[in-house]
Amino acid sequence: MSFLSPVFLWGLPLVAVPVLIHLFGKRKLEVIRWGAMEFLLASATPRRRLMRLKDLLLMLLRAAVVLAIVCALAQPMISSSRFGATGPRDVILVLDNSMSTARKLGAETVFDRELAEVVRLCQQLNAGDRVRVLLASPKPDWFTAGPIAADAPHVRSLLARLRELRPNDGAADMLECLQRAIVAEPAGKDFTRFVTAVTDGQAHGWRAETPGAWSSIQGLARKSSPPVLTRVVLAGAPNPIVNLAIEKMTVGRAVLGVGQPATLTASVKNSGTTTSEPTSLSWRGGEQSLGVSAVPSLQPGAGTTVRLSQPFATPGVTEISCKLAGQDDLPADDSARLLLEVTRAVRVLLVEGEAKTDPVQSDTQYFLAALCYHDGSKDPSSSASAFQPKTIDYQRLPAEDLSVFQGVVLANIPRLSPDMVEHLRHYVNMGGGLWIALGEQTDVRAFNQAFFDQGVGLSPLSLLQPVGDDRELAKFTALAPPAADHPATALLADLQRLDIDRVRVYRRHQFSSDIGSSVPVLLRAEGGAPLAVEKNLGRGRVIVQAFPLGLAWSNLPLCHSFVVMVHEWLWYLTEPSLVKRNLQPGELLQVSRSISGSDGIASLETPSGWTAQLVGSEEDGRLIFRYPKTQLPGDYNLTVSGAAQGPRSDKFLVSRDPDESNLTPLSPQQIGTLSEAGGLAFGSDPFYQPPGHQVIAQPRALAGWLLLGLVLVMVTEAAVAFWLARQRHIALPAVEMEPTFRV
Amino acid sequence: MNSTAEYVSPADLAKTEYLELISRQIVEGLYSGGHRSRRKGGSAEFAEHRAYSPGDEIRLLDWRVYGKSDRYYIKQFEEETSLQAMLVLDASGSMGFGLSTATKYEYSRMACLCLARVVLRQSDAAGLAIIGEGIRSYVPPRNQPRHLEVLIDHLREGTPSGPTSLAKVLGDLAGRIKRRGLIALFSDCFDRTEELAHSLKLLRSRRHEVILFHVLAPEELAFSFQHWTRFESMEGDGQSLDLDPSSIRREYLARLQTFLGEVRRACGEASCDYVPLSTDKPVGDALADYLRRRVSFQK
Repeated sequence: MSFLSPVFLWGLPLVAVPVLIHLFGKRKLEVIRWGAMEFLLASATPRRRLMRLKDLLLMLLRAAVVLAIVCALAQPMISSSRFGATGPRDVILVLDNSMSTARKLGAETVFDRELAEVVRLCQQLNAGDRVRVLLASPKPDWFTAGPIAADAPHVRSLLARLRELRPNDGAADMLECLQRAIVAEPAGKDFTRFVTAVTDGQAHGWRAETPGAWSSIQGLARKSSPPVLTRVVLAGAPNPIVNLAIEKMTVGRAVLGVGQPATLTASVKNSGTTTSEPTSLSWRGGEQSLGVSAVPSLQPGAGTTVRLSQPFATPGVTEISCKLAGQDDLPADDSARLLLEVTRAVRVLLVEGEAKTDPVQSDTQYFLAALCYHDGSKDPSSSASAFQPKTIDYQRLPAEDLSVFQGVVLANIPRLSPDMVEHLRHYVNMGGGLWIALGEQTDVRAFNQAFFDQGVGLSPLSLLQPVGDDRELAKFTALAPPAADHPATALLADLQRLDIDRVRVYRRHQFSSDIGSSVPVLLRAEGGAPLAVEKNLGRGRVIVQAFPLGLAWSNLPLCHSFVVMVHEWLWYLTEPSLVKRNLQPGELLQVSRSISGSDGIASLETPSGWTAQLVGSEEDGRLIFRYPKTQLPGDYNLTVSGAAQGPRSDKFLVSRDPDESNLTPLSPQQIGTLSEAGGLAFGSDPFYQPPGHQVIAQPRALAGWLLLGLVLVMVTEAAVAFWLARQRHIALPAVEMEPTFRV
Repeated sequence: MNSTAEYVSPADLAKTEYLELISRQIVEGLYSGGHRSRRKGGSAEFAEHRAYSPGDEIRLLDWRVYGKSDRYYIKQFEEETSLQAMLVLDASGSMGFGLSTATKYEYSRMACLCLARVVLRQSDAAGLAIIGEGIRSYVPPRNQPRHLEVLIDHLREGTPSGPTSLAKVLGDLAGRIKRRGLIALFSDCFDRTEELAHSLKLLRSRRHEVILFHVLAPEELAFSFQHWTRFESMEGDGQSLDLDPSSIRREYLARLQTFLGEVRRACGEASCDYVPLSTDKPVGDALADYLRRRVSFQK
């Protein structure tokens, strides 16, 4: 027990005053010498005990009055559940609204069951409790503005709003959600917090493999005052799961040139517990059907890949979708989408070194030819390349505005000034792609100084002196098959259709091996020596090739692989500078626009229906709009206002987390891990308190009860005193004496 | 020179001035014809010697005195009267109680004197016995006018003290009083009523007329004390009681009522007059009332 005003407890000795008065007051007796003692003795004997009891009762009542006054003034507060007072509860419901909760369970969904659990939980709340709801998907987000009183009207309103919710396509990070709930601002003083996660029990999102992180959660909960109790209510059901899911849909390249074919790939997986039936997958490009692919029967856990190659002739952004036929328990993952951008031109700046008299020895002609450009113009009969090259002399490079080019190719150029190199570095950092083809004009020392720059420059490796003799055609270096998993060399690795293995390099620059194997290598010699290396710098990429693009040191331009290499490497290099429209959840959404005519404001429509206002940041003469909160899968539409050519919208698509289709529930071992490491209690009682847990019940002010008791005691004392006084002063007539006479 | 005024106010004396205490037995004797009047003389008890005067009866000469003193003295005898009143005054400790009024003893003493005066004035004999645990003082009845002074002397010396033994003392007194007469008992009767009743019957069996003047103080009758009080016994037994009088008032009064009833019944069974006297009532009024009633009853 505690007291709000303990200073009044100094008055407790006053309780002895009525006792002292009772004990010592009676000593002031009037003494009467009395003759009729026998009557007193006879009358007093049966009454004496009662007299004492009455006086004792009055004494106790008066002492109780004093005690009640002192205690009421001291304002005791008692924290004890013996009185049935468990204290107000700060209830935080973590509601799992991830895609997996859309799973059907007969006529209802798992989310419907979760809502039913929420209703049941809310019915156990008292008016003094506080309740909040935290939505788990795609990221922890408060559904309520703050703690709301758990009285009937507020709870009804809350439940009505919750019933309008539907699961989204996002995943849920339950660890982050529970952490957010545990550290949330308290609802008030001396509230006991109960964090209850209502979820379908899907294993994905629980991070059961990281018990260390969960231990931190438990530590947070324990450190809270009062300690937080966390429970998990599983609303799912271990029924047989029938689910065929499109985990992801990809395209070889999200930006294509007009007429270029796009290879669409859909990864289909049976995430159910039963073998799936053969079905089909239909492709659509916008409103147009692109075809149907067969999907075979799949065992539980098995997957397959379905592909479609389709050229797209119409420039612009096209939504490509695929959908599985039939119905299963989770329709949300039966389809997938992506955005494909078909562009007329990707501008590439081709910088050549000193002019050569022999066009065969030109470093740029073959390159241009690979892009179907002859004599500076494009072959009108060819529409295969979306690249639009511009060739300049290296000396004119400083005058060029690099921001209008998605890629820059330095074809065997001599040294560049430090300022130019710095300009190129900035260009790459901003997302530009740089292809440096070394050749006989390359000054090794100058290159190392300017481009390698002790490892922080544009080149990942420094150069040694060239090796080989371009006049000795019998001595050459063949190329090893490149890696098939690198987007720049995936096609080149196809030795059946291409001839990269027939490339002969007679002379080449040597890369030093100072940095070791951490540098990505696109091309290697058969002996393992790197011939083309890559470096990611800022948002852009750099490829440094050890031999020129012409025929001076190799026969590469004569091989079929050259054309593919030029295209693939240019696409790879220019990709960062192009708008990335297909994002993963949480990936940065970024758009660069011209400053001219723009007020720097853009609005972004999100899949939740909410529109964010973005303010562009000016960087290198461009307005960059960035939006990182892309956890929610779906369509995002960015509109830049005030553009000179009118508002311009850009579409973006955030794909689903493929693991969200994995409906595998938490295993008993995982539950055990979460319980032990995270201190989570799994069960249906949201307010279960483990044995030994000390719930700090709200200290209840007893002043009110004490005052009530004081009034009762005072009334009782007054009544008893009045009764005793009435007894004392009762007007009894004196005894009458009547004479009698002898008759 | 002693004076009744020392103990009785002239107003009280005046109230009984012209009243008489007539013994019913005397009256019965008169009516029956067996009673000797005082004027007729006759055998009587020797009262005193007087010097012989010529004309006195020779037979009244006391020759023994002559033999001793060589002088002639005649015997004077008490004339046999109609009434010998013995006034019995209870001087036990409880009779000393009195708060707002005179003590019961003082009141009884006043009443004794009044009554004695009445008796002596009507030429009857009055005696006095002051009793307590025993007979403390005894004055035989005489009818001389100066006998009142004797009674006053004895009354002056008495102080109430000690326990009450009414029954025993009355028994002793019954043996001492030879001639039947009237016994007026002034007491608060705080004794066992059965024994008192027995004593009254004993006195009545000796053919005495008994009048019980039951003297009580108004405080004893009302018991209207308000505060916690220590009541100390006046009987000398050291008893004391601390109590809240209001808490036992009802029961006390009930017991007192019962006691009075028993005493009254005892008087009735013994054919005695029961005369309650409260010390807050003027003694003259009380006695006058009684004497008048007594007379009216006899008529």
